[in-house]
Amino acid sequence: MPAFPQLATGASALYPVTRRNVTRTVVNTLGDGSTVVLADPDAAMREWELQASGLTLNEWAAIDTLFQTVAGRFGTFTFLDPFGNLLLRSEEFGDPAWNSSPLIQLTPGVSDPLGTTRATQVVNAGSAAGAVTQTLAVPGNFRYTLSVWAKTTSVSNVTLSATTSGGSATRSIALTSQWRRVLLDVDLGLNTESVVFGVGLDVGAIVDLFGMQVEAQIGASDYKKTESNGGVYAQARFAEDELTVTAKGTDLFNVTVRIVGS
Amino acid sequence: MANFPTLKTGVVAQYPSDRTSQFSTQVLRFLDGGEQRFAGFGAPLKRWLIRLELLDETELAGLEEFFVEQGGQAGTFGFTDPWDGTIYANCSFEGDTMTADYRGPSDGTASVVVKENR
Repeated sequence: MPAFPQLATGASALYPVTRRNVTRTVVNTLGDGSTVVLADPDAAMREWELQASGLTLNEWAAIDTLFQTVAGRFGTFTFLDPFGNLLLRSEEFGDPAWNSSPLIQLTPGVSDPLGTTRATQVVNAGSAAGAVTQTLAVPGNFRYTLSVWAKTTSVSNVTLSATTSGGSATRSIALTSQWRRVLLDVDLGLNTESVVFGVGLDVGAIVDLFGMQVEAQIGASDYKKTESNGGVYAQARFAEDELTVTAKGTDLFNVTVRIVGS
Repeated sequence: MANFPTLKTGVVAQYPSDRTSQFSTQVLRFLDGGEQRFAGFGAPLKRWLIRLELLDETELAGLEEFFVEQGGQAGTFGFTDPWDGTIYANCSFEGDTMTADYRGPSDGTASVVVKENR
């Protein structure tokens, strides 16, 4: 599956980016002002307008190659939302979107660093190291940043990991009793189509986790909570059959790209 | 019942902020200048235009996520009137499109219209 390319810096997009959320609803308004509303959830879609200026020839060529490959609006490609958390259910580690090792115990409803009670206590009651992971259908040759808030009431470490066929990146971090957002910079550089992101716990570890986030860029941005929709759009399309690039100078290109996904 | 999300400061709106009260009156005018009026609404319906600027990504993405969860104008939620603190339990977005502009770090903008339902 082709994917919308990252820039040479590892960034997904340049500011400004406009993201438009579109839904469809049938509304019948009655005389007294009351309404009869019928939702059409399957019609929901998202649209991005990327105003990329100052691209290099290689960056522009990668976008143009994708545009030629999918024949404008005709074909689909994978698009990673530049302002999205790629994970599903970013605060619900017990959801089927996540995979936990057999003796990992999850207790939701724990106080979190934002002052609410959306964190989860994770205990590894097994006799081997365990993990909470989620598999994403994303390219293995992109740059990613995995982040999560973590703390412990005992002496425990967490190991952040990103694994794909033929390679992995891991980082073990000692925790304290204070919330701390821990990060893993991922640069696997492998031509694969899925990556497993997760947090590993040593035997007996007791850790509070909150707000895991994966972004297709270098460095973590503000946390974005996700529900059933993550930032991976596997069936994205160009919104237009034309793609115009402006050469501003040698190795300096401006282009505006519109992409739709659902 | 979901509630309209607040910003990090705990507020739901920034200046400038619009609030509209709407009645629906049917007016019949006669040749002699007389007229009859019929009140369509028993009580006015309120509508708020929420303009938000200088949002960080958490705030802006949170508002977008809320819009998507509601299915645009299909869902209903509770809304606290930023003018007087009155809680309106049955409100919706007025439209099916929400645009979020990510202009730069902590420089996101959006505007939505929230309406009271009967």
